[in-house]
Amino acid sequence: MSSASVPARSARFGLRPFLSPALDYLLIGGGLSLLTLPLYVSGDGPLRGILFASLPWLLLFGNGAHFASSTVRLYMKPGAREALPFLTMGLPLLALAILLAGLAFPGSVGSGLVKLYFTWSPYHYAAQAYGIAVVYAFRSGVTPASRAKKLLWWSAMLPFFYSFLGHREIGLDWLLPEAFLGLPAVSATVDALVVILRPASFVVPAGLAAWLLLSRKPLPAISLLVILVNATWWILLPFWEAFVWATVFHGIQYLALVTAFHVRDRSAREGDSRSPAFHAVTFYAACVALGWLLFQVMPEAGMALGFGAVESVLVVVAAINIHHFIVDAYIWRLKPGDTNRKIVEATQDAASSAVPGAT
Amino acid sequence: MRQEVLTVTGKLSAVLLAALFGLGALHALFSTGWLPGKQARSYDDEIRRSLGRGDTAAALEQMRVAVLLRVDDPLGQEPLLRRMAETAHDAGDLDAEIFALRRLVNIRVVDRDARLLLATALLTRSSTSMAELKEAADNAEIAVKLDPGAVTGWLVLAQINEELGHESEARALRDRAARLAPLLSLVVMAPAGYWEVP
Repeated sequence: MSSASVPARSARFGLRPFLSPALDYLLIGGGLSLLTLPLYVSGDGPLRGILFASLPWLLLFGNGAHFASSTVRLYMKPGAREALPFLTMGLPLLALAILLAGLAFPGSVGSGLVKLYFTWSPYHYAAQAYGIAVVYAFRSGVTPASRAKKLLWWSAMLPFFYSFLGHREIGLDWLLPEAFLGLPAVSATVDALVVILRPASFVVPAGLAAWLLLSRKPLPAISLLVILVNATWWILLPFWEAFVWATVFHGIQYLALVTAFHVRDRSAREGDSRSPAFHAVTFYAACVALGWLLFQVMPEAGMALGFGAVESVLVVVAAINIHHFIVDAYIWRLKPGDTNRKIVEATQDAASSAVPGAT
Repeated sequence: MRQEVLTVTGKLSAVLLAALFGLGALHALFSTGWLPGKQARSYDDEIRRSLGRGDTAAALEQMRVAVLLRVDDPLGQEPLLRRMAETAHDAGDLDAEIFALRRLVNIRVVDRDARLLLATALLTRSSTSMAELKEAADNAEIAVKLDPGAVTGWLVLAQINEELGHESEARALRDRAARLAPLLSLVVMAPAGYWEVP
């Protein structure tokens, strides 16, 4: 694929998709979550009931696979073991040790792990939104300047600050003593910030995009979309519902992107004769299988070892999430020479030739 | 040296993970099942058995487990949460009642009764913190907004304000309750000295 083969419509909106324009907007950009928003937020209609009844399967084939995919990607990414020896060979043992400590001491270590997971999650989602926005900007040929990138980061983080400040038992409420947070001045300040952050999470990114457009360094529309979608999840949905639905769509977003990267890595290997579809299906199958082992089978191991069912499920989920957050911070780096960088910069895309309309 | 240590830890991790997965698979095979959702459903039978033999404490713990295992299935939790709140209320287990009601009001935002019960449970519990009293106040305020004509809501809100040290607000709320139901207020409030009987 050369830049000359980019469809005119995509070029006009600055999009160089990984899959296809429609799939990139729907899956990676998060457009699907906006289109389906009425289904999972309103009323008690039969569709909502069906959706909730399907939730365990959505979690298995979406969420679980997504958390596992960072681990699968880590161990299948070319050069990862040499470049990240502690991450690939040391962190798993450390994670297991912390997991067992969480199970053995659920009231202290376990509870701390769970609260850390709940506190960190909105940051992770915001950071992913920022990362995806920057990747698409890079691919559009208009890389934001350092200052613009910093502003983009801060604007993407606003929903995280909202969650950090505004929810009980996690974030600020977890980290600071109640006596301090109960002081009238502190309480009033936090409440005011929460009120401001609600509209700011939408207005600031949109304003930044408008400013960049006027500066003739426009962000691709999908970069703004992914940040606004993340804000929609964390601001418009009740917090615990956001946790469910943001994870589902964030998982879809992540799976689409990581699969695209994996397929391109595999297809670029010398002597590879398999089709991109084969690489995609085998990668996804490995993610589903590992996700099932981690989220369904691992808690059973905790129960078999004599730990409580509640503790086994919650602490395992927290430990897996935290491991995923850490791994994720490393496997998406775009250092020169890294295969990720080559994929982002690529003008030739062997894998995308299998996807109609892709560029 | 470092590389050798890391290689050993890597292999050890792989072995431990494989062992845990094998153990978990065996446990799933012989107890709760392989598939998502089956774990929570199996608790329904256990809860029924516990309630049947009058073991409320065990039933409440099993309900708590079932709720947490269904953490991603809000609609499916509602009947369970209501049953848990009712069972806990009857058994006098305020912690369990608060646990269930907190989740219930997250699912059913406009459930006035659940909010008022939650406010009352938080108010009644001796270990309630200041932050939880404020949570009780928030819930009681929503309850009275949803049903301004119900006296109990105003009385609960008044008592919460008194616990928070807001004496004048508490008095104003009791006066409001009195205007709504003078006879009830006479019976409830006058003996406590909160309100001067005309």
